[in-house]
Amino acid sequence: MTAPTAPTPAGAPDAASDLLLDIDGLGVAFPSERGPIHAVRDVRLTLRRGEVLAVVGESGSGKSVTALTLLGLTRGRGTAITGKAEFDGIDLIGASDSQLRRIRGKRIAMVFQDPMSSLNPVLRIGHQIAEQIRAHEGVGKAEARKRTIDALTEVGIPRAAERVDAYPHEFSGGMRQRVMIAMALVCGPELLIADEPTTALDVTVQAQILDLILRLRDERGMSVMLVTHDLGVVAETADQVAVMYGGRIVEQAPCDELFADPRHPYSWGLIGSIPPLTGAKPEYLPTIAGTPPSPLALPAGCPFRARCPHEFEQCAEVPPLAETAGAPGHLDRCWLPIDEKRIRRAGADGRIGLLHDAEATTEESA
Amino acid sequence: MIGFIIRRLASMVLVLFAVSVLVFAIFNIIPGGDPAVRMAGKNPTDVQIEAIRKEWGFDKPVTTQYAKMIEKTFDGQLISYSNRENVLERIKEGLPRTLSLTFWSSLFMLVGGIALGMLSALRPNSFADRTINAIAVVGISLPVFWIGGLMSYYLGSKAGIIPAGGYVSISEGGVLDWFWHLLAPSLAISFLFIGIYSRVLRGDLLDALRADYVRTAEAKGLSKRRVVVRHALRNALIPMITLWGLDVAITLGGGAVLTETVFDLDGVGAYLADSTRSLDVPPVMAITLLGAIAVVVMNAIIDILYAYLDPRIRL
Amino acid sequence: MAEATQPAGVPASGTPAPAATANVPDPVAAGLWRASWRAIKSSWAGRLSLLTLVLIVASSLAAPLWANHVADSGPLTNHLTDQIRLNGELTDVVSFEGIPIGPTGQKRFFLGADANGRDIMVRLLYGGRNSLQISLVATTITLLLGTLFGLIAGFFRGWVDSVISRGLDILQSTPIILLGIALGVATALGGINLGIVKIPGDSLFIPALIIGVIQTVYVARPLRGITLSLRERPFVEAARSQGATNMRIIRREILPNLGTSLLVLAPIIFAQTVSYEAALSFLGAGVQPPNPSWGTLISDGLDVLVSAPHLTIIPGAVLAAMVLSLNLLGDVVREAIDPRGMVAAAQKDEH
Repeated sequence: MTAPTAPTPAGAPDAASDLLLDIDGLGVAFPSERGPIHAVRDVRLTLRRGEVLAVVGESGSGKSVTALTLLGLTRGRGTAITGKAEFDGIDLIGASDSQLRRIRGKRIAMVFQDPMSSLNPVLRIGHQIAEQIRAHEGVGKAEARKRTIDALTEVGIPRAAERVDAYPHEFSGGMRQRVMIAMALVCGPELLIADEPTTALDVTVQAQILDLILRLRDERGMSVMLVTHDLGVVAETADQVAVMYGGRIVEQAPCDELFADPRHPYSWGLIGSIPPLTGAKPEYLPTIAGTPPSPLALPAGCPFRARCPHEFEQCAEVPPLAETAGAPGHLDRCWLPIDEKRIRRAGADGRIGLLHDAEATTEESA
Repeated sequence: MIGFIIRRLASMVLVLFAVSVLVFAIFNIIPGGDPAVRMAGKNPTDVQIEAIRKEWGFDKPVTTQYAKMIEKTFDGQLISYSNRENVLERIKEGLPRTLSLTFWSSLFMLVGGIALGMLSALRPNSFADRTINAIAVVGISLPVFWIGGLMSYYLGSKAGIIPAGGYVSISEGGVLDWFWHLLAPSLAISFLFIGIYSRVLRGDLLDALRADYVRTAEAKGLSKRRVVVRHALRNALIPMITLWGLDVAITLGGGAVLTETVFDLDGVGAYLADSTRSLDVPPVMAITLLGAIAVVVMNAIIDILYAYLDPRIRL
Repeated sequence: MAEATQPAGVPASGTPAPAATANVPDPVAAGLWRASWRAIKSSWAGRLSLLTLVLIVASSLAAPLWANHVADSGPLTNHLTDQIRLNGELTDVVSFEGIPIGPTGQKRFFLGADANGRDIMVRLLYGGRNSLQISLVATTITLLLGTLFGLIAGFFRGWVDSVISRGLDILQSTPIILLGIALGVATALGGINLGIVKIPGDSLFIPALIIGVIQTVYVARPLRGITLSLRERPFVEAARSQGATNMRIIRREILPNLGTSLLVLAPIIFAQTVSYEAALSFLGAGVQPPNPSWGTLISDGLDVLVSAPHLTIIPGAVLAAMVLSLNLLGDVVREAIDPRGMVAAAQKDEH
C-alpha cells in the first residue's frame, strides 16, 4: 500500500534519534464556572518510532485529554494548554490551526472509542475516508476511491469494493472500528493514537482489532499511543506503559517491568485487581477503595493520597516523577523508598498491598 | 418507493376527506345562517327562498350536499354563493400571487434562518449570538399585520422606498418589478420564521458540533469549513428543513392571510379570508382542500429529502 | 455492555462529559416555581419582561377605574357631537370633516378619539382586558386539552394513540389560522347552541374556546412524547409491580412529572394565544365590534393610518410588548428548569 516506511521489529527501539513524540510538562486546564479544571498536569512522555506506548488510567485521569491535546482537539475558548509537546521536532502546542490541520490525519491519526458515534451517520464510509485523502494529497476522486478500497481491504473488510458505498449503520460495531482504523491509516501516519479502541466492542472482536493494530504497526513501523483503562490490553500490546492518576503520570516503565515490579501503590491496586489466570481463584478480588478525585477538588500533594493506605506526612507535597536506582526508564511518583515499597507490596495480603474494603481503608488512613 | 407512494396517496385521501368534512361541518352544522336566506337578498319572499334552496340543492340531505360539493370541486364547476363566480377560475387568478409570495418568503426564511442560526452556533454566547437571539425573539413576537401595515405605509406610501402593496406579474412589469412588489410582504412574513428557524438551527448545530463524528472529522485534518458544512450542518439542518417545508406548504395553501390582506396582494389567502367573512362555503372548501393537498405533497417531499439527508431513514 | 467486558476493576473511561442522558426532564421537585422565580429575578430580561407584563395586566384590570373616574367615558360610548375644553378652547371631539381629536394628554381623550368619537385610551385599556381574558381562558383550555390528549395517547399507546395522533396530524395539515377564521365567523353570527348551553355570538368566550381548541396540538404533541418516555422509567415500572392501577400511575407518577413541560410550554402558548387572538380579531373573526381588543384596534387604526398613526402604533406596540415579554419570560424559565431542552426536543421529534 501507501506506507513506504520500512517495517521495524516490534518493541525494538533503535537510537535516541528515533524519538518521535516528546512531551514535557504538559498541562491542560478547562475553564468552568467554579474555576479552572486542571485535567492534565505536568505530563512527561516520550515515544520512539515503532513503539507502542500505553497510557492507562481511570476515567477522568487525564489520559484522553492528553491524547486529544496532541491533535489540538482540546483547543477552544478558555482552554489553557501549557508545556511542551513536540512531534518529530514540530511544536504541537504552538502550531497554528492550519499547521495542525496538515498534521492531523496525515502524520498523526486517531481512532476513537465509540465507532457507533464516531462515523458520520449520513455520509457513505467511502466518502468519509476519501475526503481525508483528498484533504491531504492532491489526488483525484478516482484515485482516492481506489485507495479507500485498498485501505478497507487491508483492515479486513470483505468485499470492500462494494462496501465502500455503504453507510455506517450498515456495519457491525467491529466492522465500523475497522473502518475507523482504515480511515486513520489511509494517509500512512507515523503516529496512531487509539483512544479506548476496543472498549465499546465485544470481547472476541476486541482481540481482532488489537491484532489488526499490532500487525499494521509491524508492517509500517508506525508508533502507537494506546489510551486504555484495560490492563489486559496493555499487557498484550504495549512496549512502554504510563499510568495516569488525577491528571498526572504516577508511574512509567517498560511493560514487562511494570507488571513485574510495580512501584506506585496505585499501580499495585490496578494490577492486583486483575484475576489470576492460573491457580486457585481468590475469594474476592481486591479493589481500590474510594472513588477517583474530582478534577475540581484535587487534594494538595500526591493526587492518590486520599485513597492510599500508605499515606504519610510527606505526601502533602507532590512527589517528583523520579527514576529509582537499578531500573533505567522506570519512573514513579511516590515518596516511599524503593525497599519500603517492595516490603509493603509483598507484606499485605500477597502482592497487593491495598486493603480490601472501604471500611478498613478508612480506619487505616484516618 | 412504490409502497411509499401508495401510503402517501392513501394518507392524502384520508386528510382531504377529514378536512373537507370538517370545513363542511363548520358551515353547515354550526348555525351560521341559512345560505338561501342570505342569497335571496333584502326582503325575500318565502317562494324566492324556496326556489334558491331548490336550485342550489340546499333542500337535499347534508350528505348529498357534501358529495355534490366535492364532486363540483374536482370538476372545476364550483360556484360562489355570494357572487356566482367560478371559484376555481378565481383561485387560478390568485394562485400566481400566492405562489410568488411563497417563493420569495420561503427563500428569505431559509437563507436568513440558516445564516443567523450558523452565526449564532459558531460563536455561542458571543455578542453576535446574543444580538441574533434578541432579534429572533422580537421577530417571533411582532404581529405580522401590524409590522406589515406600518411597513406598507411608512416605507411605501410615505417614504416611497418600496411599493406600498399590490402585485405586478412578470409579464406586466418584468422580473425586477415583480420582485420589488413582493419584497416587503415577503420580508414581513420572514421576520417571524427566521426567528424560529435560527433558534432551532442554533440548538441542533450546537449539538452536532459536539458530536463524536465532528471530532473525527476534525481529527482527519479537514478544513474548518468542511467540518462545519459537510459534517455538522448537514445533520443539523434536518429538523429545520422539516419545519420549513410545512410552513411553505401552509403559506401556499392560503396561510399568509394576514400578509396578503395587509399588502393588498389579493392572493388565495385574501380570497379565503373574504369568502369566510361572507360565509361563502364553496371557495372556503376549495382553498382549504388546496392547502391540505399542498401540505400532504410537501410532507412527502420532505420525507424524500429526509431519506436523502439521512440514509438511516427508509421511505 | 462495556462494564461487563472489563477484566480489571477500573471504571470505564471516556472524555469528561456530562453524564445522564435521560429523555425526560428530571422528576419534579417542589422547586420548579422557585427555580423559575430565581431565574427571572436574576436576569435583566426576566425582570424587564415581568415588569412589562405586570404593568399591562394591572392597567387592563384598572380599565373601569380609568373609564369611570378619569376619562368619564365607557369603551363603547360615542362622543361624536361632544366638545371638550383643550388649552382653554372648546374643541370638537370629531371635527366637521370627520377627523377625530388627537392625543390631548388630559384626563379625557388622553390618547385622542377614534372616528366615532370614542375615547382611545379607554378602548385600549378595555381592549387589553378583553384580549387578556380571552387569552387566559384559551391558554387554560389548550393546556388542559393538550395534557389530556397527550397523556392518553402517550400512556395507553395502541389504537388510542393512533386515533389521537392521526387527528393531530390532520389538524396540523390545515392552516390552523384559517380554521380559526372559519370557526370564528361561523359562530359569530349565530353563537353556539348546544341545547343546554347557549353562547351568544358576541360573547368573548367564543374566540377563547376556538383558540383554545385549535392550539391543542402544540401541547398534545410534546406531552405525548414526554409521557411515552416517562412510562418506561423505572419508577413507573416499580409502581406497576406494586399493583398500582393505571389511574393511580397517571395521577401519582406521570402527572407530577409533566410539571416541567407544562411550565416551559405555558408562557410560549400564552404568547401564541395573544398573537392569535389579535390576528383573528384583526380579520373580524375574533372579538366582534364594537367590542375593543388589540386586534380590532389595530384593524381600525390601519384605516386611518394616514391621519392618525398613533391609533395603529400604540395598540400594536402594547400587543408586541405583551407577546415579547411572554416569550422572553418563557426563555428564562426554560433555561432555568429545562436546560437540556427536553421539551423542545419532544416538540421537534413529533414532526
